[in-house]
Amino acid sequence: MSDQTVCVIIDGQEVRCPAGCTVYEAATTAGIHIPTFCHHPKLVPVGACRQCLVEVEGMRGLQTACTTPVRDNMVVKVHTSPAAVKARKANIEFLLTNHPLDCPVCDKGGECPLQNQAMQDGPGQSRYVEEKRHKNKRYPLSELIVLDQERCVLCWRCIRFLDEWADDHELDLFGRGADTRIDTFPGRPLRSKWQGNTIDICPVGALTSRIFRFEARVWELTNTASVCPLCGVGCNIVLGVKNQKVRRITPRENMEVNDTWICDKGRFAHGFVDHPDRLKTPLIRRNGKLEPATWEEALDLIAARLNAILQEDGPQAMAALGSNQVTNEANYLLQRFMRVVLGTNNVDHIGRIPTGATPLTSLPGLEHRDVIVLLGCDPSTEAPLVELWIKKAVLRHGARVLVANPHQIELCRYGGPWLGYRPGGEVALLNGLVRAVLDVGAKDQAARAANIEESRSWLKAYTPERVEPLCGTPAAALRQAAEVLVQARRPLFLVGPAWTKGSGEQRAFDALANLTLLLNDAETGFVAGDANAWGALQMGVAPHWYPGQQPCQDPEIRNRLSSFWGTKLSPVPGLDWDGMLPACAQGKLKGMWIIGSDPAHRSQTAGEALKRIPFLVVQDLFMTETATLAQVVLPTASFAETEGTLTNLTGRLQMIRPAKRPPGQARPDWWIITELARRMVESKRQKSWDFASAASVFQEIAKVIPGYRGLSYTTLGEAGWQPAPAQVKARRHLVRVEADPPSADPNYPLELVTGRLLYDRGTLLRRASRIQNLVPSPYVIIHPDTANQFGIAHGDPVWLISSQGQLPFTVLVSDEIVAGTVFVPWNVSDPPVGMLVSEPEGLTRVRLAKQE
Amino acid sequence: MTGMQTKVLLRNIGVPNSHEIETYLSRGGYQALQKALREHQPAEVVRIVADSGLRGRGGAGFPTGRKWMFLPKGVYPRYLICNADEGEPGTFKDRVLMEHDPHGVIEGIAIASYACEVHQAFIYLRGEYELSYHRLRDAIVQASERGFLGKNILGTGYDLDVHIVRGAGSYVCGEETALLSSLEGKRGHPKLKPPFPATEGLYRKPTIVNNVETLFNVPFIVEHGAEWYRQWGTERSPGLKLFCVSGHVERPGTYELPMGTPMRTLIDDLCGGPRDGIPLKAIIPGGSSTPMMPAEVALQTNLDYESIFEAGSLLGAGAVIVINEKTCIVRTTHRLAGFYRHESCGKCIPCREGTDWMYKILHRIEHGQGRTEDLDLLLDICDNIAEKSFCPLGDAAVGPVRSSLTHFREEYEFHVSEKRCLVDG
Repeated sequence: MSDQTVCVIIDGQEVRCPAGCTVYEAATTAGIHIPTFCHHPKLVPVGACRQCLVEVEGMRGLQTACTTPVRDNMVVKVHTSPAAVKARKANIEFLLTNHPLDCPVCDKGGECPLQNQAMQDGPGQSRYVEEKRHKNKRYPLSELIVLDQERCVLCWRCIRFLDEWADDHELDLFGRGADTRIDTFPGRPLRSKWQGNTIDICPVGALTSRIFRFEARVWELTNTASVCPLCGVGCNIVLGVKNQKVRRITPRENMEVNDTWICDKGRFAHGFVDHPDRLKTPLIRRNGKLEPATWEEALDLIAARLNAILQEDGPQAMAALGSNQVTNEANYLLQRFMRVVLGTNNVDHIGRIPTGATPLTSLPGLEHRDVIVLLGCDPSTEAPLVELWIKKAVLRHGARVLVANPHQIELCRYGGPWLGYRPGGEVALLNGLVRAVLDVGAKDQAARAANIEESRSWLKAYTPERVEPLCGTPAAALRQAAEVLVQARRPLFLVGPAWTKGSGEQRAFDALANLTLLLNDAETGFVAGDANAWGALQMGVAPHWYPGQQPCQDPEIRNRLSSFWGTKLSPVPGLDWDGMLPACAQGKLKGMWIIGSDPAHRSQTAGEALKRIPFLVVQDLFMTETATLAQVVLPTASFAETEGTLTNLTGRLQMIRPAKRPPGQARPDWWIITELARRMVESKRQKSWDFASAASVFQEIAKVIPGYRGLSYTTLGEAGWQPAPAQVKARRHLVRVEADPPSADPNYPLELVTGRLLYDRGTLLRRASRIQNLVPSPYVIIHPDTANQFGIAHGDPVWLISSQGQLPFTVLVSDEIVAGTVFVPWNVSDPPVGMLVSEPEGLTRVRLAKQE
Repeated sequence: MTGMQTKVLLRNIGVPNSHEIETYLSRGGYQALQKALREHQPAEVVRIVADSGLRGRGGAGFPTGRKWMFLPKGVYPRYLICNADEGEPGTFKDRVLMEHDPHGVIEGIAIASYACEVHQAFIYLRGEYELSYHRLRDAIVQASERGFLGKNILGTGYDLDVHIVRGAGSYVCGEETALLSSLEGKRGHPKLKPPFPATEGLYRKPTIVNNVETLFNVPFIVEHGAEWYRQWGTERSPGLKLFCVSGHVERPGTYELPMGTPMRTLIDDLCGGPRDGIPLKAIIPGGSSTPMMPAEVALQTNLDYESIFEAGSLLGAGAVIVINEKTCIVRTTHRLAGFYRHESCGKCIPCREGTDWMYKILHRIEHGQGRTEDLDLLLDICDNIAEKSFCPLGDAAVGPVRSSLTHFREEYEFHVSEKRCLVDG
């Protein structure tokens, strides 16, 4: 579309619109409604349904408004053309001839374009006396969607969405003419993680959700704008609630985040919110058993015990874990409580974003990257909307997707190359790429590094052939990747949490910076998998950082915050999570507060350590493994029941809003922390804990964090607020980072790689009924070489054994994994694969044994 | 056949082994190709064809030379498609050419491809045409062996490969954009125009789609010149045309006549007049999709695009269906409506739903369950399909229904009121 505008006359009204836009778009800008079925603003127009026929002066017959481009001075008649009005009326009559008209039991009723258009343009009376056609009704296309072929008007928006956006060609038209129907291919149910979007764009009730089906008439729902808490993207959603129960989740357009789409996890997994397992009252351990208690009892008890520990063991005997899944307000108050009320910096959260990581600068900007490099990052399972934006870049602009991952991920489908590597080999792989880029790109690339000459000597050791044995990546793949990178105009490196585990944060990022400085306009962004990973970091739930990532070691900042919070902040460095574990084990930690986190589930080491804490308080939605170890368990409100903000993977602050009451006595995190603080501070200082709402907490956050000045819930609004991207100082020098591949252990010769599946048996998804039917049985993927080495065949039951223990799995033999590693999905087995992992998390080595 | 018909296009039909290259060569075959390649630049061939006034013989009658001139300059590759999906009920002229004079088809394709600077040509062949397939396939092999196809044709440096793609039985795939979808391996759905195939066709490249008979004319025009071709026909419909006559005449078959010949010549002189002397009731002049005409009107017209249009129908593909007084018009229309209901691709609502509805109504009328209001309802449905559908199939489906109701309404009324057929007695 060009910048020029043209003038068209629609129903006598002059409309200015961009040249090249369609008559439909021009009419829409002028507020003139043209009915459509097949047309959808996010899909390529096909002109199939003929509902948008209009008269254009000088053109023979009627034209489809959705496909006809405007011309200057074009005269269009929509509602003033008797022929067009008759055609549209006739079209509705045609559609209704065979439509079942079962609106009273149709989920779409009340928000159905066919219903609305039948009312607006329809004949109001039927001339059809023939028997209606019969096709499949109540016809499941998958675990999540059911199709009614009789209701379908064959607009094929669903097919086109899956083709044009999801690139999942799973639906098509079958049969011809009046016998045409939408269907899946025989024996292949819908598997796309985007299928739920077809329900939204279906202009009739043909595609309906098996989870929302018959739950409510849509006009009975109370709709609340919110944000999805299930990954770092923070898709904008609407919660539809009836009788204090979340009945459905639908997307809300935000062009900076999720366009108009959401993934099926976000849409269908809300069952946990209203699950009977939710904690409904505080629990206090009495005689070894957790028993219901009132808030008064629970909070008084916690206050008394924490005061006692303060007296006896001092502030450093206490620690807290915040969470990258709870709100900024909760995280902020938790660190404020620990630092101000207890006087310790022992506060951290699990899955903290590695030092050196920067947020992705823009989600829609992904579309315009010509090369996207995924480093230990699987957007399809960890942050699905990122996958959708990447697919847009691939499908519409031919972007390349390079994948560095120990096993093949879904996005390898675009030809990669796939750079398989063994964990711990990240630096070797990057050095190999640096070397190959210098070899392939010659002068252009080398000129970008100021110290290229002295760097050549240490890079000598990283020819692709020498790198291959270090990390397992084939030399040919490295060269191929280098060719792509050298050609790239605007490459983007997406780094996932797995990338920094094997080699350490500093080394992994330094090695990456070496590569990016050689390329054109390269950018790096961290893909945080959790809903509030950036938020937890920003709120200062970290031992070395105050809110706004202001270093605790800076006395000036410490003094400023001391006076702001009205206390003298401790200069003693706090323990991070890795430090808390040995402190627990050594009996140094006497009290601990864990919010929205289940470390005992993640590793056996953690579970053992937490058992040694005399006073453990756990605040969560469910009785997690960690909660079973606690002295006091506090029931908290879910994302659907509280107000607050989450910070997504682009650093965007977005609001969640209460759509219903929490179950039983469950309370929002901010309320719980505030109430406890008020019990512990002297009465004259209680004013500083005078938070009456999440909004008042946010007001304080906006004062404490320099970049947030002036923000409030009002300014965040419906669409949220995103900070300007930080100016990353471009490096000019290559930094020497040597590969340090992990040493071999003959007893445990394999490296364990874990990864998320979209659907798993985690705390929340375990309580989402239909989703559970999509979770596979526990499996381990091994390379054919490994299968030979251990004498194991595809489908064999095996033990996976680490120094921590052993777990049973079924073996899948595949060459889609690098030799020497095994892949186990996270949160699928019971007991969890965390049982094999030792903390601090780094590399876990395993071996295999056939089950007898 | 009688000696009254012109025998230019059909000159090889009836000659023993007319499908073999030796026969074809012995009768002057491939001379036009040599002439085109050796004596003309591609643009000159386009000019000659344009000057001849040749119009597309598939039914729409679009000037062939003008279509070729629509090819955007400098965009390659370009493709040529020979539309051999002859699916219109009543037509069988292309089949005669492909079965009995396949080299004439190949030569036409080769010259047209040269003119359009095409190096890959496709024959999209009606799936049921088994013999045509074998004859064309053999002809391609023979022509390649003799250097009329393939690399460096006749030493001129021009390359051309011709591929045959067999259709899967869908009528709408004879519509050029649906044909393109089918050829690309997709569902046989028509595509939006514009872009027209000449600009953006097969695999989104400039593509010329011409009917078999159209291409078959090309060698004659190139060999003898535009003026020679214009000796036949009228100013706006020049040249020779094949007519397929079916139905109630003594000698149904394929006939070659100059455009503008009186219908009566075709029916009475060439076809031997009405079968068994039973008077005629109606004639469908251009294939099942063209409006039915009362026989007495049709017999007054001449066989060219303009004359038949003025008389209320269309020349179409030149498929003349002759219907006598013993035939029930309601039943005939019912059958035709059934065909279009079956062949509607389902893409657009008016055609998909309208053809189904019309068929159901006609079915009731035919089976004695008609209502008086059904007749106006049918006409209104026709009005709601015509020019509203995505491709011309909707208009085609309307043709027989609307015209039969216009000209033979009393037969419908009899069916409705008497619950039986007027002609069965």
